[in-house]
Amino acid sequence: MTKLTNLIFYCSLLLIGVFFNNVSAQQNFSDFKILQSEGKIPDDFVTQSSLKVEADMQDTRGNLNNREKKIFLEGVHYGVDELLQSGIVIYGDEISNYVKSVAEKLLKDDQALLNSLRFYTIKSNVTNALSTDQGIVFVTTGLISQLTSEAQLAFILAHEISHYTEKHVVEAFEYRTRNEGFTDQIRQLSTYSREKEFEADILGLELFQKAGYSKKHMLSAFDVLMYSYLPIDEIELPDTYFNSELCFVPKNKFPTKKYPIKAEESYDDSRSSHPNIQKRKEKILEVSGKMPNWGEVNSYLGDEKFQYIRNLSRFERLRSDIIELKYGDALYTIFILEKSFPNSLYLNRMKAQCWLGLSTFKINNSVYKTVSSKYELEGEGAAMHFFIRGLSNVEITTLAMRTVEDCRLKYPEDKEIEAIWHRTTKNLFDSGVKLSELSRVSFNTAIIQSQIVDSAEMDSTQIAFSSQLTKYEKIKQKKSGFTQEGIDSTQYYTFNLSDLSENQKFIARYKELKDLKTEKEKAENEFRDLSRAERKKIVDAENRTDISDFILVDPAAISYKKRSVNLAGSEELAAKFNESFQVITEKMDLKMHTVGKGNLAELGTEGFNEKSIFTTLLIQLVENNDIDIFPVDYSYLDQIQKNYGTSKLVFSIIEHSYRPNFSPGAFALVLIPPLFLSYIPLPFILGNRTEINLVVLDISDSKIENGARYNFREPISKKGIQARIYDIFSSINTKK
Amino acid sequence: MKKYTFLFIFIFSTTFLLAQDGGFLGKKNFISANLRLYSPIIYGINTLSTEDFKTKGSNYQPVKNFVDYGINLTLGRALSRNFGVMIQFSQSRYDFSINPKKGYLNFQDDYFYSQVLLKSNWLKAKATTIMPIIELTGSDGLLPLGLSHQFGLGFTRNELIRDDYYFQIGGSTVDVINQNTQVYNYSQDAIKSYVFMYKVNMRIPISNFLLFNIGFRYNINYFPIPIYDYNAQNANSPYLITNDILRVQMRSKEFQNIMSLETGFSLCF
Repeated sequence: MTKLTNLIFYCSLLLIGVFFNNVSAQQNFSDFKILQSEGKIPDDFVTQSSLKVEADMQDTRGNLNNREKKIFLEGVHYGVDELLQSGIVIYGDEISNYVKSVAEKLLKDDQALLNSLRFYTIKSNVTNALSTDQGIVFVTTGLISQLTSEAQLAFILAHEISHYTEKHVVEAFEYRTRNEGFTDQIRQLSTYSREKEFEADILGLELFQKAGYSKKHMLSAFDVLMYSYLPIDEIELPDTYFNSELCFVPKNKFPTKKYPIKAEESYDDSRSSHPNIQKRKEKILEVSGKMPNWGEVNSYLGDEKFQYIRNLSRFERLRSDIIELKYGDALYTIFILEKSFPNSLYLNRMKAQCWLGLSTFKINNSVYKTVSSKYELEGEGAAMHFFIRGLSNVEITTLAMRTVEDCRLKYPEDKEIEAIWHRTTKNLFDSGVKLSELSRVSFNTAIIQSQIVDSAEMDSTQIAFSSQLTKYEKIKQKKSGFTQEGIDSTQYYTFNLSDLSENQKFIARYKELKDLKTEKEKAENEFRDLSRAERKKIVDAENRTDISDFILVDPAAISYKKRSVNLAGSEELAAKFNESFQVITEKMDLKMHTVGKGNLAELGTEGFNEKSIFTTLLIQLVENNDIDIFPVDYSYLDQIQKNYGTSKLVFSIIEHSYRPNFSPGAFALVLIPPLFLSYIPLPFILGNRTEINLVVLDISDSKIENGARYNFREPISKKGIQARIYDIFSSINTKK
Repeated sequence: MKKYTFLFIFIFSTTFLLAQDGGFLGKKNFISANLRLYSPIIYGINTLSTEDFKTKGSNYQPVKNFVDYGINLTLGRALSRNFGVMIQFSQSRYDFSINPKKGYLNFQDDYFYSQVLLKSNWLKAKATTIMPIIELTGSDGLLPLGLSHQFGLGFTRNELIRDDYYFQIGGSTVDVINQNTQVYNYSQDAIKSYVFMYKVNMRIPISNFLLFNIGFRYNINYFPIPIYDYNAQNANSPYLITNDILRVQMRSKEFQNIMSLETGFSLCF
């Protein structure tokens, strides 16, 4: 998600926050549905970037001349539009509407300003809010999830609105443009940016005070920013958290110490765009002290409403953590949310997804990607990360199986949990756990049985115990993990699946996995014995995927000019690329449904939401293409698949650049005139470089099924693109 | 579960492979017509000091030779994305000088044997070539489309074109020979040569079946004859130009016509 962070960072440099009054029914958190856009799709999402630039060129922008204004507007519009289409921005949802309602309180005396603003939500755990030159205020779910009051949100919004009213985006651009080439430019720009931040703080404070909000909440807004990298709450994780009637985890798996919180308010901000928290607090205190008539309002819209909105964002936070593979953080968030929502199907699904993810990454030796390193451990949430990091392959796969089985027992009809269960059993199998190794009784039962057996001086074939051991043998056993009663606690995980060891469904699944493994080995051996031609035939057949009916998701295009992105050129190229798909699918008689920016006006909000779900799937799969990832929006994808009648998604991107590349060595040819003259035109002719990448995903098993990459050097043309698309489709589509 | 899934997962873990279908929108056969332009710069420079002539009406005037031309017709098939075969028929016309170094030639007529300084019209030659060609691309090729490299080995018939050629013989004294029958024996067999060709070519699509071609071609001609001896070869010959003289001069010109620009169209089917 570095790209996401970069996007947000980029927009926050631009700096500086359409809302629709759809009244949605409140969610039931027991059956939480992810936040999606609602209502009519705003123009911001459907108007072409080039048209936005063209329209804004009529207006003035500070003291920018026409050339500078074009550069500025292109940067602003194309940058923000990329964010709007990234799949993480939503409109008309409950959070966006709530943010707008708070803004209405702030701007009750300035209807014109309110009407010029649009409020959208970014689904991201980065704690941020930002406003743009075009009057869009973005607020992240990560920010809302960390707030403790409506007033804090109001203060942050007032700050962002002030950036907009003071035109800080264009001012920053102008300052940067006029001061190019100065020494230590970063420090200089940081100083300038910090001044603007102080200005926005002070103007925002005035707006906040005029709205009648209470003074006591303004400073706590800075605490939110300061500690936003920590989880949503600081609650101790008990060392018995995983223990139940069927599950036991030894206490020594948990940390014995606390991890202090390291953040300081007075950090060095000399190269930061924002002043440090201490300075901002001092400034706000100084200015607010001089302001008379402070109100006492903590919440205009009600605490209950605020708590509800925050819970929505916390559930969304969970989803973002899973997309970003932060399973340690997600499990700690679930631990906190379970206290308020013990019977939430969504939390159970997410918990099952986390454990499936952990077991998958563990058997691929990359669980370190999903939890914090030991140097990053801070606060109470550290215990969860410490715990996961200390588990071995079989400990994780058995605990994952236990957790997923518990979820399945709780929701036996849920298709998503059932799918997770299937994958988790495979991980358990792959980790080498054998059915015969699983105890038939739980750890607790084993202890009770051992005590009974011990007292009756009976032998047991199932459970090891040590009634006859000497003191020194008992010490050695204890050191190696044996409990006092003689049960080997280092092997505790073998007791955690006692119910499954005799479960017919589980046994059948294990047998199926074993058969598949045998079949695979057999096929591998058979393949080795085949002739080259036979192998080629088989590989060719296996390389094909049925794409007679597919969904084309937002074909993307990037055109480069002189080493930087040609924004207008990219838009034109995207149109050519899109049209080429239409032409070729018609020619090849393939059924294509397009879900992309190009036809959003026609598809409306439903199409926009589908595009977001598809984009999330792509991010999940492509960023972890070597590992089987379970789609976070499994249930939604399942529904979309039914709606379209196909499970195939096609993602594609085209990149083009034109750079005649004169090799310095070739100029030696100047000594041989004909060769030199013959060389001169070549770099021009060969200066074009175009690359097409196409990936076919299957929703039904969430896997990248097929794909192709093409590089070509001839000048770009519709027919050239069409020829490549035709070739890719003919190559990968199943032969009829 | 697909059998052998493990195998292609392994393959895809590095890169996706395309099956060997290829073709431009599925069309693998093509016929091309190209115009070929030579620029014999070195030859031109070499003959700068003493121009040969071109006839205009009853006058003749000194001119340089900087451009020759030819046409070719090619029938090809893409056997895969990266490999194709072609057969090419080409005809080119070029001018060459009978005596590019402007040295003295030995000349003998019925009565006397003498050394003469010879200046003449540019002689015109026609080279007809048949050439099988193989065409290769990089790993991402899609023949017949895009950038490709062509290699060919062909057979050429070089013929002197029948025309009224004028000659200046001697230094200060000018004798004009205007007797074609005495210039060259046109009934002789054409002069054969072999040609090796490399061409870097680009085909750019302009419609669903038509491609625009542009490329640079390099030829090396081989004329299987001994080095001509200026002092002996035309002795006892009733003709001003013998086949040996012609071979040498043609070889000299063809060798210097090493590079050419080709452009035209390909029709795919």
